[in-house]
Amino acid sequence: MASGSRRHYPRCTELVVVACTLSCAGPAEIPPTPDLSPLESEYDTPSARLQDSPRVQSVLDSAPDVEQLAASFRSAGALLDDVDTASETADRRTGDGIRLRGALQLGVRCPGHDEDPVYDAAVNGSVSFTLAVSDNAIRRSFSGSAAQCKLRAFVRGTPLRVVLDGDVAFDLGSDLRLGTRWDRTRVLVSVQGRVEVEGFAFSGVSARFTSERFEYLYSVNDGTVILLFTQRGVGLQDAEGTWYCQFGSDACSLD
Amino acid sequence: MLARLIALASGCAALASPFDAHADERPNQRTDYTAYTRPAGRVSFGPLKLELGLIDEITIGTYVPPWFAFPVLGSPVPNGYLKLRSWWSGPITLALRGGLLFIDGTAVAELADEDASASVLETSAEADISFRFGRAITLSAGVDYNHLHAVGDTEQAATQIEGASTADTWNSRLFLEWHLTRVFSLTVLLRYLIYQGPVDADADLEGTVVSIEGDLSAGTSVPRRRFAGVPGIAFDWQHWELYLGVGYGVFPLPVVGIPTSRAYPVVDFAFAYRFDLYD
Repeated sequence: MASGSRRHYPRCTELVVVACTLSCAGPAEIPPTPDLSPLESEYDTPSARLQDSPRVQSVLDSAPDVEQLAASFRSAGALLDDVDTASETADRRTGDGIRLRGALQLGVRCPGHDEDPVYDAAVNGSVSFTLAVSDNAIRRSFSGSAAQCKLRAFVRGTPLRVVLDGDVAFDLGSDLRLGTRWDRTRVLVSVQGRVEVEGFAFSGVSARFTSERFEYLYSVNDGTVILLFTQRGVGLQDAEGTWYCQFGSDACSLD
Repeated sequence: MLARLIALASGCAALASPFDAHADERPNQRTDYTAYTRPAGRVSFGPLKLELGLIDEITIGTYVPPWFAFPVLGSPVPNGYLKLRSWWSGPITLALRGGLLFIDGTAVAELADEDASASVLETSAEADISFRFGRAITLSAGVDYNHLHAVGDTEQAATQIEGASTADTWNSRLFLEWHLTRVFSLTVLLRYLIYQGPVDADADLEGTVVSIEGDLSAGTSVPRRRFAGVPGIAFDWQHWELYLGVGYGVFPLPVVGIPTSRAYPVVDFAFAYRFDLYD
């Protein structure tokens, strides 16, 4: 060896790291999830102030049929029932001392408009969701894509034809631990695509609902209001409070 | 840390009479945790392990209990390993060892916390180096690698086997033997878990209404402890060998080699009868 030259040997730790990089499995990627918190804030604090009953009635007259919207969005919400199936499926891969992460791709076939459901994606469309799994839990929000998904909704026993198409996003309210069932307390839906109800199309709409209350974000001249459908009937929430209108009457009162 | 241990070992060797630091190798050297192999024709047969020195540099072996696991696991667990050591004599010995173990799907289901629909092939490899400081002190260092792979029609392996996270794992160890007499020795085994990679835990389901395709990985969720220390004693008679150590830490499961996800009390035990099958 020539004077002044040095022969370098790789350190043991470097060899181990390189060997491990070549042979060890890396962690699964957690897909990005949509952030629906700004939309949630709009539902929590509508900005418009309607101030009087005639104005409230005017807004309700110009708004879409909230009852139909409620039925339509709830039929779309039924697609989320399979989140429980995904949770149970992934739960079988975990156990004591195990942390699971990654992505779950759900493909849900839509039932169609007929009384007897036909779960054929070529006939009645489908919806695909990407659920993010982190630390043994499905993250609360996720996005999906509907391909001419045909659904059947009901308003006072009357069936409605609903078609969902394009990008959608959901927020379940809280992360879902694997192996547990979604409590269905509330869900926030954002449809960047299109939802058709008996041929009437709505684009870029959203809704938030529980089993007893349906909320629809509606823009008016000076801000936003929330159209409500509850057991009390149709109502409206603005920055001042919640208005309910008597059926068959122009009188609306502030709660 | 290694330099200090070597200095300590050298000091102990200088004090450890009645052995001559320049004497020959010991006739029966421990093969666990070291780079040593069985002499040619030497059989070591015990309740836990069976080894045969094919030639001085090659030893083959198998773990005995898994072959008789069918009352508990429903099927035997065949396994074996091959160890090669350096051919030269002297104070430094190198060795490589490779092993295979096959766990049938029935046994996996018994071992795993969750349902498993595939058999598992476990491969292991280790590299060892042993330094001999006369007849009294032997210091060995080694690196282990373990990998579980699902085999069969389905690719879903159990994510967990008896509390241990299944994954690619790299372990290192340091083993010190201090031979106080020809028969009796003190030992210290130190382990360090270098790396435990996550394992694929894909989950798939195909139904009438929904299809699910999971791209998941599993790792340990408990704070990862990496060290284990096992002090022990060893008895080495003409035909019998007995090794016993008690310690604490993260340790590889017997036979499978996958480290536990938590630290536990550790018992290191080996007992065997030696005889020469041929010269």
